[in-house]
Amino acid sequence: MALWKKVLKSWKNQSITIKFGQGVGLLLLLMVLVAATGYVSLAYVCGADNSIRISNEVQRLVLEMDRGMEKARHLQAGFFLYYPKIGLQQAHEDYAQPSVRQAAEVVSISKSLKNMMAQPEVSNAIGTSTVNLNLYLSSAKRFADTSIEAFELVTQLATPETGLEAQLDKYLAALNIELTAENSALNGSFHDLDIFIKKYQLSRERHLMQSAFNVSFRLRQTIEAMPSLPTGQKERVFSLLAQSRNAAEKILAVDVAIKAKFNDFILQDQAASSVSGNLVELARKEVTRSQKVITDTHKWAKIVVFAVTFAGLIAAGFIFRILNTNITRRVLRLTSNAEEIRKGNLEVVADEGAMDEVGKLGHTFNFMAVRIKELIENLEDNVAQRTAELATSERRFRQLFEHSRSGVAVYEPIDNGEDFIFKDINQAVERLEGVKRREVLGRKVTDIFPGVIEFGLLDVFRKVMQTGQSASHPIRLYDDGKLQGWRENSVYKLPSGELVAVYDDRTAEKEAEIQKTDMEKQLQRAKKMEAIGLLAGGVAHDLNNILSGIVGYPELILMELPEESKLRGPITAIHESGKRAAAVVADLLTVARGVASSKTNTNINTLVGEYLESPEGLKLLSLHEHIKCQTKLDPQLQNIYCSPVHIKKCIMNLLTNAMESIDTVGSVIISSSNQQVEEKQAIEKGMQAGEYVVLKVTDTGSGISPQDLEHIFEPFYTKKVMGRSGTGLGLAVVWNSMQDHGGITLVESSSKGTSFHLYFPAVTAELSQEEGQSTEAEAIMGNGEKILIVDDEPQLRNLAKRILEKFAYHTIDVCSGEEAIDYLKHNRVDLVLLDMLMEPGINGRQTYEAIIKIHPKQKAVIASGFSESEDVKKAQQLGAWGFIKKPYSMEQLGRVIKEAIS
Amino acid sequence: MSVLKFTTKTVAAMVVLLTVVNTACDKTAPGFQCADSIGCVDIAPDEPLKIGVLQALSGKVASIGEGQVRGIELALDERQGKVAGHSVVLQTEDTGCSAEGGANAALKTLADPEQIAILGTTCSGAAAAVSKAMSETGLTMISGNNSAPFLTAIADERAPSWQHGYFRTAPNEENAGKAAALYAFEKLNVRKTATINDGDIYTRGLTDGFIKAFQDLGGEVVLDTSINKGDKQMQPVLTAVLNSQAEFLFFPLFQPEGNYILLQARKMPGFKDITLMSDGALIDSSFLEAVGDKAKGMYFIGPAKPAGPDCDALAEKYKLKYKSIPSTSYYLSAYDAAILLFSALEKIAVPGPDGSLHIGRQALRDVLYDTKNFKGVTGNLTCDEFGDCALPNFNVLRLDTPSAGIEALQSNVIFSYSPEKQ
Repeated sequence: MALWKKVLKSWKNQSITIKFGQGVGLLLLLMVLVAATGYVSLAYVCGADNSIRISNEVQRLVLEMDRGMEKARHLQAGFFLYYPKIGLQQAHEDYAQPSVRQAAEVVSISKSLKNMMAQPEVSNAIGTSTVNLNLYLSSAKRFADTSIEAFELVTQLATPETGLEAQLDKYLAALNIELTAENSALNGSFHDLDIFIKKYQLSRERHLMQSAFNVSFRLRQTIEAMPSLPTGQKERVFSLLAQSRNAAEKILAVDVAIKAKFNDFILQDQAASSVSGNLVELARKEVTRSQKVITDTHKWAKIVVFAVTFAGLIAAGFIFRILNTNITRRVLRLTSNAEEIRKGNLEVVADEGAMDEVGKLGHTFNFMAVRIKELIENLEDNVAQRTAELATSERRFRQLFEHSRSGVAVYEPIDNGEDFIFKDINQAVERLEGVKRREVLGRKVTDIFPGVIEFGLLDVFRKVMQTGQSASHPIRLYDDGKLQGWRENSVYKLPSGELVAVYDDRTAEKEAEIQKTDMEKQLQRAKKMEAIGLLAGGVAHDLNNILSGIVGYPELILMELPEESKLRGPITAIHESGKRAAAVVADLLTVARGVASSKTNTNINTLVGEYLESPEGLKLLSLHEHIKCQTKLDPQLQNIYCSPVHIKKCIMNLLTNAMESIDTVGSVIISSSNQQVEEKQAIEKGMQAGEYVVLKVTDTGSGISPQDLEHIFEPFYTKKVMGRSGTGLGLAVVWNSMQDHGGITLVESSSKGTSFHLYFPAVTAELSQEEGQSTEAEAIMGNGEKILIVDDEPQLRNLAKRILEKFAYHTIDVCSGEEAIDYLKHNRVDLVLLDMLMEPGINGRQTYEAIIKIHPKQKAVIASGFSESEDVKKAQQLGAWGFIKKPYSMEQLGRVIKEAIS
Repeated sequence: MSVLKFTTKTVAAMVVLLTVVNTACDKTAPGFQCADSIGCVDIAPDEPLKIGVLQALSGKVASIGEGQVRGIELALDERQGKVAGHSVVLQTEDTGCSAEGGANAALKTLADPEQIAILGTTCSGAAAAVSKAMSETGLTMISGNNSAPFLTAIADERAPSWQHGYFRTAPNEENAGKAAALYAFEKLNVRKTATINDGDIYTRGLTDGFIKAFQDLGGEVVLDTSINKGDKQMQPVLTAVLNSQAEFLFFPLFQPEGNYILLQARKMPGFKDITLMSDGALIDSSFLEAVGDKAKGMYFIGPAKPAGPDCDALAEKYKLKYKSIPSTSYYLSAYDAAILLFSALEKIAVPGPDGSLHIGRQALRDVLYDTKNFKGVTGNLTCDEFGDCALPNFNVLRLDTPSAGIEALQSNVIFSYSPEKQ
């Protein structure tokens, strides 16, 4: 039992592979056993069948040999029986020779039989009878040899005339002749002799022949004792007796030999017959044995096959039961347990049983069940949590989708990817493209956005659709006539086959970029203009200092000269020339924008009118009589805060250029209007949004080429002949003046003409009342106030001193800021006329800064032919009251000083 | 997949196992290479040695043949039935004491290629036919009873029926006739003698030897005649003897012809003065029993009876085994023939590692031809080139008291003749 338990335990712990293997192996073994049984049975039957066949053949051959030998013996006997009757020759032919041939055939058959018995299929019993067959073969040979010898002996004995018997008969016949004639006694002896011989020939009893010899002996003695018998006859008789005895002796020997042969035949017959009988019996037994083998084999094969089949069925059942118990049933239980778990019953426990694969599976199953139970217990919480997280995630992503600043559109390909329909869009798309989700969903992209093909995005869609690779569509301008904007797209393909386009509206950036470009251009232009201005400013400062004398002193001289003086004309010409030169310098300073000009609230219509009616304006119009000059001035035009001098210059320059752009007949229209510039428009135009006063000068001239348009505001850039009609500063003055006034200049030009649009910030303040200001000298006369003149130019210091003294001021002049500071440390003055640019030493601003530290409320007027605007402005912020631009006239200086002191 | 592998391995293992078993079954012992010039006899480990025993076991000489068989059996018993570790099967065949009987018996024996040797025959006439077939087949033959000179040598020359491989422990009786002639001529003063043989080479050899010696001595052979085996009517031939006026009749015949001669001669008055002498064939108790007192005074020429302790011991064994007294002493020489053969076989047999035995046929002959002073019960045996192994030693016996039996006859030695002593 212990062993059985060990085996059972070992079996249980075997792997399923081993169990299956052993089961299949056992079945295989049974199959092999059945096959082996069949094979062995077949081999046995075949062997027995062969044995029967060979045994029958052996039997047949043996019987054939026996018949052959029997026939040979019969023929041999026939020879001995019939040769006396039919003659020796005939007997030879009829009996002796056939007998020998028959024996030879038997020898041949016995050889065949011997070869057959040498075959392996022959049974041992017959096989070992080879010895007997050898004997049979030898006997047959010996029979043949002995027969021949016997035939020879008979021939020797019975050959007619020459045979021993014939010789004996001949001798006896002769003897008979010799003796018969003599006497009855001899005749009687011979008769006895003959009788004995005859008896011998019949019985072949040797003693009869011996008796004959004895008779012969007595006959000889008788004849010897007969004196009457002639000697010659005696000798013949004796000779015949000797010859007959000799022949008889030979006959006896031959007969003995023949008898020995017959004995030999008898012995051979006994040996051969026993051998053949034995062989036949063996063959019969072998046949019987083989038949019994076949019968037994059939019987045993049936039994074995039945037994093996029965055992196989039992084994199969056993194997099935074992496999069913150990594998199938356990697997079914596991399946049932799994089904229970599937239904939700997590309390089931699988039977682990043996530690084979199923046992391990059961163990794993139980472990999994526990784990599932644990997991399910937390599953609802997890599900709820995950659902919430998912919802949150979905909301988050939906919000991301919806609130993405980028437009996101989902497309579904149709027509084999030739076109696409909208599946979804986010709010950004609605916002950017001005469409509604419900209006676009399900519709073709080419219907909603007809410009998408030209835009190039559809090709990108198709490419992404085919390759599955995401692609970018760089910033391009979409324009279908209705919708316009810069868009940048990224397209990728979803696993569902849908396409997603994520895009951004780059219009603002693009426009900003354009604007930036423009700004950069403007900046470049400004810097260029500033550089030119610095140059011009530097020159203008020096010129203004020079021109201050040319403009100022003739004025002083003319005041002193009598009216009739001949010098008045030339000095006046000098004064006018100085003023024109000053005007040019003023343009330069305008370009340099370094002159702080005085601005007032002005109506631009007024300035237009003043110019057109001024001598310069009239002169211009007269020079271009074939050109129609019209004004379309808005009577409701708002005021602007401007420098009228500069604005008039602008009008003059624009009008001059317009006139000169028209070769023959044309028209120039000067118009003004109020315009509200919106934010967008302001951005596009590079200006601040707000209300503007627009002065527009339009001509019907040949227009300005795009190349020239880039440079028309640059100083000294002119298409005109230099020195003939302009200085190349006209439009530069216009541009810089507009810059100084916080406005902008726009140009529209084509082959049909050119329009200049000057945008001035509008002001709501009323007009300044400067028109009423008295220009009378009295109005600007001083009252002995103490004025400190600070200028590094002695000439200008002297001019200013003389003018101010003309206006009854008390002047003190110093040549530098440092000296002024030193002076003021110890003195007080009513006003300081302070040059801005002084060299060497500190400039006017720095001087003023030091002055107000000494006298915080010290009044000052800044004078400068050109000064950095920042310094001038900062000085004014510090408290400097006024500014006067060099070269200044007496009136201008007197008025500024007066106003400052007042 | 694993199951398939397992099954494949199982089948492969079975195939390998079957192959190994088959290979193991096919194994054979290393073959013995026979170097013998006329072949070998291979004896399987458990197979017996086969020796043919061809003796005259029927007719009146059956007693001699039976004695020969018993002598052989006693020799085998000495070795517990085994030679060279193998049992011995004696295939005994009856020769009928005739040439044709010998020839047919030889056929039966020689038909089995596993036959090693032949012990026999009883009669020399049968031996001539047997020895020829035996020699041609490569066997060896030792006779314990053949004495005809024709079988070995006559006058130190090969005799007509000499065959290679033929040996005998019985003496060549070439000198038996001479011994008889000497005794008749010199001791009995016989001058006219008659001889009767039966045409058998044995009897013919004896009468020829007698005639030659008698004539050489100056005597006259007045009748030299024959009878046939099986003849019963001896008066005619006896009449011829009387007619020849012979003083002495030498008739070395077997039974029953010898018996008939004697009995019928005793009835014929003419034989009253004629001395009768036969040979060893009739030195047999059966003869004495058959003829009784009629044989009284009759002479016998035969080989000298062996004597000594060994002979006595063997005789005791004979009596013990067969519960009878040996009818002749010739079983002794048959015993010697058997032990000579067995000894020679053991000398030349080559045992195989598996217990098999290999016997060279020429080797057997050679070792027998080399036999010198082999100790037998009949004396030391030395085989000459003609196959004669026994010393010729003949005695002339006279039956004075038939009732005293064969022992008395053999003891009544009237004359002894040994060529060695001459």
